Amino acid sequence: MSDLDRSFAALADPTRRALIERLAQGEASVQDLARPFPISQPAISRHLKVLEEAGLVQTRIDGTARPRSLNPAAVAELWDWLGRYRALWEAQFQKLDAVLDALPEDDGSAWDAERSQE
Amino acid sequence: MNKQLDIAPLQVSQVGETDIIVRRSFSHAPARVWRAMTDPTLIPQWMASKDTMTRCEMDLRPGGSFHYEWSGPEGVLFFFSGPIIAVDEPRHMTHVEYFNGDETSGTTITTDLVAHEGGTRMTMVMRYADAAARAAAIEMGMTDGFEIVYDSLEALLSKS
Repeated sequence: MSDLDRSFAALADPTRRALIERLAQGEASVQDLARPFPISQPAISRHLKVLEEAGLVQTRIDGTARPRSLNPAAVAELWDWLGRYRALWEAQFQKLDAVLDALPEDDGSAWDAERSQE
Repeated sequence: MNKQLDIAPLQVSQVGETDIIVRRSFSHAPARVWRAMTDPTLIPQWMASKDTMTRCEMDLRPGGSFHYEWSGPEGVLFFFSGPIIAVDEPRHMTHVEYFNGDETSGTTITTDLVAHEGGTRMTMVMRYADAAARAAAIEMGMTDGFEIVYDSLEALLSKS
């Protein structure tokens, strides 16, 4: 698998996408990452391992703690990924722009007239 | 990392644990934007994903309700519905949105339209029941995003 394939495979899981979302806010311990999920901490660790193998997440060694963070090199790619949520909104609003452009100039009265015909 | 995904004229940002704020400018006055956003004959023309909106009802008054439904060849795919809380045409609207009729986890949506230089600045605040509900909503959007990526990949592959 290419790096991109690995990234996509890693992100094709809702829990892992949520973990990335959380890590986008900053470094976190496995305990903190696991807290919002109804699954066990070992299960979260397995998801983190997949993300780490895909190069999206890295582990820092701090005494006995092993906080996880996003791999800075993957952040640009992640930005595009989050941007897709934004892109959906933009696609929708561009359609709204077109609807607005097509509405008759005399807004109020034309609307009322149209409505009374219904 | 700054989570604001900011490219004019659209801004999508996550605020606190539960809110998504969407800001967008339109080149038409608030009355017209209000109409396009609330008229059930116009809503299906823009509020759609790759699926088709097949039912659109809007009883626009405090105490009223709305129902948006999307269907495919197999029948109803999903719907959003809920009560209209506040209406101040053409400036402000508050409504609560339930996904597939699940009233245990509603999203409160406030929409504000402000006239600006002949156009309109819209601010929409979507307040989810909790952080998990917000994450699920974004995930749903992202899933669609993935499909768009895969679709364009497929289109590219079929050309070559």
